[in-house]
Amino acid sequence: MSSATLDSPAVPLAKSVFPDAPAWDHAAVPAWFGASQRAAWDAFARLPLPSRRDEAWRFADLKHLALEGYVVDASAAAAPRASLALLDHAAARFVFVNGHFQESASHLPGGVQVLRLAEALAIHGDRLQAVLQPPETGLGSAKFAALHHAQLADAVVIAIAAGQELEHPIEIVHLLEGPRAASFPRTIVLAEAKAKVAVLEHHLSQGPGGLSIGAAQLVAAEGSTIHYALLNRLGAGSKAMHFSTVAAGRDAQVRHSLFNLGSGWARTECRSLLEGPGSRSEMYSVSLAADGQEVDQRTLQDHLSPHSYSDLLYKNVLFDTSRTIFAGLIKVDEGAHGTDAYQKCRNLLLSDDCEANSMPGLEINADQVKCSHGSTTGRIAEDELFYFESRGIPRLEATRLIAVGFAQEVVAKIGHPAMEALIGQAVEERFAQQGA
Amino acid sequence: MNSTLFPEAEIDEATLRAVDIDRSAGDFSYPENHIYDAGVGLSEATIDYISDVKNDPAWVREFRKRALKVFWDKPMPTNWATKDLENIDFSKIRYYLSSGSTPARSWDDVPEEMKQTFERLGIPEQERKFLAGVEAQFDSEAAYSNIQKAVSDQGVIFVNSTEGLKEHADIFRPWFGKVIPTGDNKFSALNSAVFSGGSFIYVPKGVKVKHPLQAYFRINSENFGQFERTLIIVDEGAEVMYMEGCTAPKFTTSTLHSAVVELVALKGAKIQYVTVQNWSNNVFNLVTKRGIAHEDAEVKWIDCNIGSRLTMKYPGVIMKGKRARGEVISIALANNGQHQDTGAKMIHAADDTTSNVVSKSISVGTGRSTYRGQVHIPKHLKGCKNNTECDALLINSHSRTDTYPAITVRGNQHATQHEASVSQVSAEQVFYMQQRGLSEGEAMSLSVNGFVNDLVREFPMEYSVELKRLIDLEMEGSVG
Repeated sequence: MSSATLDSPAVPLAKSVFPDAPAWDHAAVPAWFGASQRAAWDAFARLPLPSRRDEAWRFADLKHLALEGYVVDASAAAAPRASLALLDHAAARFVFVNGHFQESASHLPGGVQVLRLAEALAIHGDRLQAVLQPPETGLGSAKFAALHHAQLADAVVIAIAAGQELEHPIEIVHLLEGPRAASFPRTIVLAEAKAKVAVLEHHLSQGPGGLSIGAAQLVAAEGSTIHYALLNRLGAGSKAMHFSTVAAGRDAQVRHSLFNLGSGWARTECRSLLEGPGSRSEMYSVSLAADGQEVDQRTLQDHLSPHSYSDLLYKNVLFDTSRTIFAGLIKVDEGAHGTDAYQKCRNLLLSDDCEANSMPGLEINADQVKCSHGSTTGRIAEDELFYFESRGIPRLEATRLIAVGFAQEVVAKIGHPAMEALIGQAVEERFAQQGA
Repeated sequence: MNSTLFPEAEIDEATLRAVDIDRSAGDFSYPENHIYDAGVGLSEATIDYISDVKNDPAWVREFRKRALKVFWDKPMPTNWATKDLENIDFSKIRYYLSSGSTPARSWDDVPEEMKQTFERLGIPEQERKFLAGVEAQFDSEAAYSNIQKAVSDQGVIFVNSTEGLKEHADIFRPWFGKVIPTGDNKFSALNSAVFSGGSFIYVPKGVKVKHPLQAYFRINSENFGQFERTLIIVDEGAEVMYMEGCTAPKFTTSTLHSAVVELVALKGAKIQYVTVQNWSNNVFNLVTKRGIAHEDAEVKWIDCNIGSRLTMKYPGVIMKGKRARGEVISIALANNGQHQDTGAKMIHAADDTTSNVVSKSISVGTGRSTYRGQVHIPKHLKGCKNNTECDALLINSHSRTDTYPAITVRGNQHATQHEASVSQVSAEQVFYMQQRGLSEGEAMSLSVNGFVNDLVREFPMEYSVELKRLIDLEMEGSVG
């Protein structure tokens, strides 16, 4: 594997006006890619910061958007560290520290086309042009998606050939090291007809702080299946933004799951495009928010074809003074008849100082549609706690058990046994840590 | 079943007739004979003209002028609302018209034209006389104001807002503009600047008004905006039901209706406010309605929107006292070219407050119905509950429906739930009824009726005249 040529040197990220563009080395990449990065940089500089009047940022605390002082640090030493692998068996494993590929910790067997950005550009070149653009969010973060693309130095490109089914998931690990470190993880999954793949992306950090602005693009061709899960276990005080785009072709199935167990502030935007007739998209999320944490999630289920199906279940568990925001929209375009679309947001409040905001939305322009959405916010019912207490289980323990059960319902939907076991474990650990 | 029930492009005539209501009920007008006319456009001079004609006290003139500045300063809310708002040309609207007659006191004094209005709406004579107090607003002034003797004997004040602010300033002023401040939104500011007409009601302590108080509003001038202002104060332990219905004749250019309605329910009081809105479909109906419920009080909005080109109306309740209760029951029917943007705001501001929102909408043809809601439960309260249900029925493939709720809950002592669904009249249902000899149109009509029936029952008996005419009978009756 050739060493990446796209590494950019240390560049401070100022709040809104960046003094310098990243020092790209565009000599070795296709001209269109260089141009897209320069255009993204211009867009980032040009686009205004979100304001309180933006519907896409309603209820959000905009102070989290002060991004000064972060550094894209090329010198992050590849010091030997304990294994970062979570899965016992992975079809392939990528490990990055502060956005830099760690060859020794990674595992890239032959037979599976999992590529880093430079290789992917060399092999697939112009075929990548359609996807390797600034992630389109349409959900409020165009400015930060542009920043992500402009700063992109590496990426994981997973191309699964027609009919190929991977038994084990592909694991991608992004470690943030240092309180001012910034990284821009990008994952592209291209599943060809009837291919099947599961991807686990794991974001974590060594120590507090750091900034991660990531994006995932899941493109499922006819009859293919993609299961994708992102586990956010970044440290306290860190900021995380993540933009996902799901495009499901005819009869394709995509499952996109988010587990926000870390970071001081998290904003996720997830767009599901039901492009082919009979396509299915499932979007799941569990967020555990504590301290002053804010988890801000925006989703879109866009039905563009007839007889497509989508389901969304986002669950939030709130401790302390945390806040969560959920804004979801089911959009059924004209002509997308026979759509089945569901959306549910459930908030479990475990303190008197937390705040849950939900904005479940529907826009229906078609006929013969079955659509519903729901949102519930509440605490654990007194009689449920009594049931446990009457069996000698203390109140605090009962609360923890119920909260864990509440979260595990989503974990069970990931769709891959090994990933379910591992993420279930992570969720349980996080609850134990919380002492709930 | 190979039915013509769900054609891709067109709805068939029978279906259209079946689900539509007879809009011609309000489709008539009278010769205009206005003595006072502020002309078109809005400026300080317009405000002075209105204040001069109405002989406003100085504080009202002042209030209007301040409101005008706020109106000019505020942007259109198009960052979230429909762009159709940009089609309102404020410079082409008449902000004040009046026939100049002082409010009439008895039925005989009511102008003949007004009586005809009731006639055309088909309200039977007995019903009219039975209705407790009838306040009919003709253009911007109340042309008729009759309070049943029994009601006024109980000490109930039921007058138009102009009379209210002059004769009952001691009660009126402390609450006026307090539930909905001038700067609440661009249209509440506009109303505060140019308001005329509307009702002022005060129900003294412990008085339970038996018969609903009622007002009819009509728009009867081209390009004429109606800016009525209603303030209802119900003292401790008292109860009242107020009903308003709107019918408007059709005109080719758009008119603007922008009302402000403030309700104050003091300790233990109950207010029900019922609206049936059937503006002709060139009217922009941009209304701000809000009530404050004190301890143990209850404010209930019952809202039915059938007419207008664009309605934006989100009745709200601020539950300020412990155990206060707020409720919004809403029915909307959006036909071709119409946009019913309705909803509810529930602001919980005390412990153990409960609110309930039930909304049903029907979109026909190219009609669009939108539910927009807000539920807010702030910190350090306990025992607050909200339930929200919104159901939408789509009749045709070009119909559109949206739901945009926003729910904020702080603290773990509360429970909220929101549910929304979108559905069609299923082909199976219609087939089932056709098998039993109903025509397709009748079957469709029956389904639509069934969909709203449980809410229609929430409307008071006394209002069944208007409501039945507008939804129930006319839907069924129009089927061959």
